[in-house]
Amino acid sequence: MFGLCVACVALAVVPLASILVEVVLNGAPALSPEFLTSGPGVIGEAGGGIGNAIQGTLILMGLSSLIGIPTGVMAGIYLAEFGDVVFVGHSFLTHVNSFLSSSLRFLNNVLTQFPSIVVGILAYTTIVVALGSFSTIAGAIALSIIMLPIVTRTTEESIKLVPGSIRDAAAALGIRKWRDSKRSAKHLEERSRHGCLACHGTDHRGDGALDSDGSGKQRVLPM
Amino acid sequence: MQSLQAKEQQVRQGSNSLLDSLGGFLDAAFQVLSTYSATIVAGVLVLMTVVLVAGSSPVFRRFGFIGFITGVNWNPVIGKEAFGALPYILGTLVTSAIAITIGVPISLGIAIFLSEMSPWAVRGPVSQLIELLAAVPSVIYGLWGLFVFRFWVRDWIETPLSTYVGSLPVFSGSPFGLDVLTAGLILAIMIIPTVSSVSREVMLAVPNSQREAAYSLGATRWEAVRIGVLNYSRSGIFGATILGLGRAVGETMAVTMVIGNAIGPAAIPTSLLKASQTLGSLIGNEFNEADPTSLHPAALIGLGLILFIFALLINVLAQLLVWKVLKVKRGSVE
Amino acid sequence: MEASPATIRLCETTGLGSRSCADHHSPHPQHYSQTGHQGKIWHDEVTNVTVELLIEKLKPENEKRVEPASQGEPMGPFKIRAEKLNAWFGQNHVLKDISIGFRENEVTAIIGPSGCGKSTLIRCLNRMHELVPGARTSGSVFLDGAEIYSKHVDAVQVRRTVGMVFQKPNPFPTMSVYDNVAAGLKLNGMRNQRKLDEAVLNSLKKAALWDEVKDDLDKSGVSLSGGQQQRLCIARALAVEPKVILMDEPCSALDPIATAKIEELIASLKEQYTVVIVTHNMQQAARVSDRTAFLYLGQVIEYGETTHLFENPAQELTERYVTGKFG
Repeated sequence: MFGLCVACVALAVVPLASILVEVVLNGAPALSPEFLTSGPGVIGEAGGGIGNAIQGTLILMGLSSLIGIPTGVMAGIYLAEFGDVVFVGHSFLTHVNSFLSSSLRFLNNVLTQFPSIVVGILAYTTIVVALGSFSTIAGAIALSIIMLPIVTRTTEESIKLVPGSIRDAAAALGIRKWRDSKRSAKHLEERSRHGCLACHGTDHRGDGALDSDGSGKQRVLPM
Repeated sequence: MQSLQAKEQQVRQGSNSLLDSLGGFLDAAFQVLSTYSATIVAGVLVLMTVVLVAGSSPVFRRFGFIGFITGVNWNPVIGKEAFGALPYILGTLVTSAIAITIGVPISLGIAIFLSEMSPWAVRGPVSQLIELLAAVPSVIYGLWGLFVFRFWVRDWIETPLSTYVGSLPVFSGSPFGLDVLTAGLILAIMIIPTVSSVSREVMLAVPNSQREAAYSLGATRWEAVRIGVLNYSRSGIFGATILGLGRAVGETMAVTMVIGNAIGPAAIPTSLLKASQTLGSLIGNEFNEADPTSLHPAALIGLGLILFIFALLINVLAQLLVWKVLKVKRGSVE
Repeated sequence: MEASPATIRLCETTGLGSRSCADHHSPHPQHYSQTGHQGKIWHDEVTNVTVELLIEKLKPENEKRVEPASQGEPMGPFKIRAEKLNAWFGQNHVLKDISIGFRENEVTAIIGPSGCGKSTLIRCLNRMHELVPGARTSGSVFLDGAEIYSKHVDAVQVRRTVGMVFQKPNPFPTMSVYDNVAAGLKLNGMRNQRKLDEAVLNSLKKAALWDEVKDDLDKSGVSLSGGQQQRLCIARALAVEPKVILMDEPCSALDPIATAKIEELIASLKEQYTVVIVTHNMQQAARVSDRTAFLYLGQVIEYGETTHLFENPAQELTERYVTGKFG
C-alpha cells in the first residue's frame, strides 16, 4: 500500500521534472540579451526576440495588480473583520451583514479558478466592444477579475490567523477599527507576505486564452 | 506633552479633537469601501450572466435552446449557418471524465501518502513539489503536451491500445497523439495539485480518535486509513473531486494545443484516439477571427454560456461539500 | 526447586516486583520476610522465566487482612502483566520500571493524578503507545505468559486480543450500528452473514445495548446518545472476542445516568473478561473494581485490594491522594 502511494507521488513528479528539463534544455540556448530585448523579427529571417512580449507581460501584470490587489485585500478585510458579526442587539443590520458576508464568501469561492475563457468573453463584450478595439486595459481588467477571488480568500484567511487577543487589545486601547485592521493587516501581510505574494504570482500564469481576447494589440501570450 | 491628569480629563469628557471625528468618519468610510470591494465579486457574476445571455440570444433565437445544444454541425459561413454545441459538450465531458478517472486516484494516493504514511521530514518538501505542479502556467502544459507528452502517449499508450484492443470502438482510430486521450491525461496532471491538497486537508481534519478506534480493533496501517480516515472524509474527498472537475472543465489553453481541433460532427468523441474539441478550446480558437456581423460570435458566446452553467453548478456543489467538512475543523481552530 | 537465573519475584499481596517492594520506605507490615519464604512457583515455558509468588509470613494481627482464597491460588493468576516496563514520549520518561500484574476475571482500576502515566500504561498493554510518533517502550508485557513485544508477535494480533475503549466515544460516523459492531469482525476476515449477525447480536446484548437499538440496526452510529455510543464502542470491542478489555476513563465524557449503566456493564463483563480501567474518579474506582493500583509520576506506589487501598492504605502518598490532599 505504501508502495502504491509512493508510486502516485512519482507519477505526479515525472511530468513536472520533464517539463522543467525540456523547457530549460530547449529554451536556455535561445536566451540572449538581444533575444530578450528586441521585438519580433521578420518572418522567415533569423533574428528578433520577445522583447515586446516581456514588456507586455510586465505591463499587464503591473496594471492588473494595481487594480486587483487593493480591491482584493479590501474585500478580504471585509470578510474577515466585518463579516462574522456577533449578533449584538439583534438589529436588522447585523443580521443583514452576517448573511451578506457569508454569501459573498461563498460566491467568492465559487468564482475562484473559474474558466478564464468565460472571463475573457466578459471582458471582450464589455470593454473591447465598448472601447472599439483591443487594449491593454481590457486585458488588465480581465486578469484582475481572475485574480480577485484568490487575493480575497488569502487575505481573509491570513487575517483570521491573528489571535483574537491582539484585536481585543487594540480595541481596548481605543484604536479605530480601520487603523487596527490596517495595522493588523500590515502585521499579517508581513507575516503572510509569502501567502499574498504567492497568490499574486499564481494569478499571472498562463491565462493565454483570456488575453487573446483582451489585448490583441500586443498579441502576447503572457507567462 | 500633556500631563496625565489632562489626558485623563480629555478621555472622560470624550475627545472632541478634529482627528478623532475624522477618525470616526474614516472608520465608516473604510467599512463602506471594504463592503463595496467584497460585493464586486457578486457584481462580476451578475455581469457575466447578463453578458453571456445577452450575447448569445441571437443564436438561441435562431436555433432554439434545445436545437443549439443538440445540434452537431458547425458552419460559420453567412447564409449557410449551422451551430450545434453537442460535439463540444461531449468533448468537454469526455476529457473531464478521463481527467477525473486518472487524476483523482493518483491525487488520493498522494494525499494518503502525505497525511498518513510518510515520515515527518519528507512531508514538507514533497507537498511543495506537488504544489509546484499548480504553478506551471497552462500554456506551458500545452507546449509540453504538444512537443513531448503526446509522443509519450502515442508510443507508450495509444500504439499498444490500438494494436491489442483496436477493434473495440472506444479505442479505434490510428494513434496520432493529438486527441481526447492526451488532452484528458494532461488535464489529469493539472488537477492533481488541487484535488490532492484539498483531500489532504480533509484527511488531516479527521480526529485521531477515529484512527485509534480502527487500530484498537486490530487494523493494519492501511486498514486503519481505510476505515478510520477515508470513510470519515468521504464527502470531503468527493468535494475535492468536484473541485478538480471544475478545473478540468474550465481549462482552455492546454487542451486547445493537444486536442486535435476537430469541428462539427467529426468532433464527436466516439473514440479515445480521435481528435475532438471542447467548449473552451473552440471558443479560444475561433473567437478572434469570428466575423462580428455574423451569428458566429453569438454562437461562441452561447458555448460560453453552457460552459458558465457547468462551471457554476460544479463549483457550487464543490463548495457545499468541502465547506461542510472543513467547517468543523476551522471552528475548532478558531 | 532451585530458582533458575531468570527468576522474578512478585509479592503476592501488592503484585509488585520484589525489587520495588523492597524500595518502599515505610514500614510495610505485609512485606515478605527476606529469610525463608513460602513461595508458589511456576515456570513460563515460552519465555523461560520462573515466577515465584511470595506469600508473606503472616503476623497474627494481619491475619484478617489476607484473603483466605489467596492461599489456594491457581498457578499464574495474572492474565496480563508488565515487567520492568518503561515508556517514553521523545525524551519524556513517562513510565519508570513498572512491574505489575492484572488478574483474570477481575476488574482492576488504575488511579492517580493527571499526567502520572495511567493512560500510557494501558496503551502499552495493547501496543497502542508505539503508534505515537516519537514514542518508545522498553521492558516486557506478558499476556498469558507470551511476550507481546517480541519480534515474532504481530502488534495487530495483540490488539485483537487486548481490546480498548476510549475516553470519548468514537463510533465510526459513516457506519450504521450494525456495521460499527461488525467492523472488527470484518477486519479479521469474517464474511459469513449469519455468523456476523450472530456475533453482532451477542455483542450488543453483552454491552446492554441490544434492547435500545434492536428496532433499527441501520441507523447511524453517531445518532445515539453519548452513553449509548460508548456502549456501542464497548460492543464493538467485545465483538472481536478479546481476552482483556482496557478502558481509558470510559465515563468521563458521560452524564451520571449513563455512567451508572456503564459501571453496571463493567461488573457484568468481568465474568468473562479481564478488565483494566483507568479512572481519575476515585469513587468510581471504589465502586467498580476488585483491585486498584495507585500510580504516581510513572511508578506504582501501591497495588492491592480496593477496599484495603481506600480504607487503609499502606503508603502515606496513597493516603494523601485518596483523602484528596493532592491530585
